[in-house]
Amino acid sequence: MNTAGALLGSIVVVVLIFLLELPRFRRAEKKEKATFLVLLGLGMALAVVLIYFPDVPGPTQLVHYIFEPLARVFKLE
Amino acid sequence: MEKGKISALQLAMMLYPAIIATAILLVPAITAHHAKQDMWLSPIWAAVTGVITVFIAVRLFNYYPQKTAIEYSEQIAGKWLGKFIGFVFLFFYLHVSGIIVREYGEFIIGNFFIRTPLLFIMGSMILVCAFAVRGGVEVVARLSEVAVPVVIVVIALFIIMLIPDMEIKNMFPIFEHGIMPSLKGAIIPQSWFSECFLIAFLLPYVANQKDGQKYALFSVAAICSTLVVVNFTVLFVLGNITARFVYPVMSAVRYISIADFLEHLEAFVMAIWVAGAFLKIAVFYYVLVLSTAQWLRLSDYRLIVFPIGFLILLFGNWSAPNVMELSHFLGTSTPFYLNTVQTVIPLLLLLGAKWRHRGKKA
Repeated sequence: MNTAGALLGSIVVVVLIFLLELPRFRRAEKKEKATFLVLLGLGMALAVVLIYFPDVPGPTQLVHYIFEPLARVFKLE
Repeated sequence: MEKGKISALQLAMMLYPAIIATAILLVPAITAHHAKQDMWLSPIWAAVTGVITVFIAVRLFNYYPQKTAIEYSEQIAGKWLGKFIGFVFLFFYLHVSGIIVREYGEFIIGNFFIRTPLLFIMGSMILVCAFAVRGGVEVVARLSEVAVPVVIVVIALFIIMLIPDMEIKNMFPIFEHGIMPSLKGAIIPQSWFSECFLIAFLLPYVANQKDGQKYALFSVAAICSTLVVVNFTVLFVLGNITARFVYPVMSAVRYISIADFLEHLEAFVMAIWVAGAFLKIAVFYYVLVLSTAQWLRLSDYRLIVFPIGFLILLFGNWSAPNVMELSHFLGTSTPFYLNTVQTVIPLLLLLGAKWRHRGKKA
């Protein structure tokens, strides 16, 4: 996948979500607004990280690292 | 926050696809790898975890009526530790939702839409689920009520149509190496059964709560019998090569050929799996969104549905580099992951709740 296209795509998705929720966003309380923006921001940040470093270790690798010894005990390999 | 009410039967109908949808996708191959011809027995051992998890969730709910797991973990473990446990649940459901979406996407791409980008398949599914989740728990429950009977009927039809291809002798010798292979084969499916803990988030919205436990156990029994029948079918049709397929049920259904006319029915397999996966993702997605809102004490969860959907999409992309890695992960460390979060942590919470209520009548 080309980098610029993916980046543009994620920006479009984030902007679309924002525009779609704008009427509800206006009515929402401060806390909801903050959560909404933080979650969107987190999504955008994660998207940028994944676009530039697709192989960055994720939660799956963490979980695998923690529980693999148990899997070996039960000989699940 | 959530004003909708569902019935206990609807709860059971939400639980059924939430476990079945992916349990008949990749799991039969992993079970077959360990249990060989005893693979039909494994789901029965596995259901024990389901029963235990349901009991834990219901007991906790009886201690803290009208509260979900996120809310009572704070009351049991104190503010900070409770928040941390809540965060573990949130992260877990985000990660697992991502993995489920990925499983679904890989299945569709591997079998049907070979040239469609994975992100598009996953994204469109999440978008549909997002609309269902925004409708609230009632909408998800009614969708399950509509789709689950269809899924069951189609699975039953496949099994009936496969009867001419079945070889009963594939299941012999029973217990060739004792009972251990079937127990080992149960490790993976039993972790799927731990997903019954989803009811801990849904019980407060059940109208007839006294029946909650009965219907949840009924659902576990239905899931268990479906898995047993599906494993029997796969075993009878494919025999000892079952473990070599990635999607054994899919491969078995390709054998259907009635009067040289009714063939290539795997498109129907895709149809029911899309329906099942949709419900599974919708239930997980709903629980994730609701828990996030409760964890942050928001007054409405609808605003955060789409941002969380975007995160699920990213996690689905992030969870594994390819389907082989995903299958390897699901076959090795996943069972311990699922069990730790959905059985062991609730058990510790239950012990904590018992300790807090000591001397008092529950």
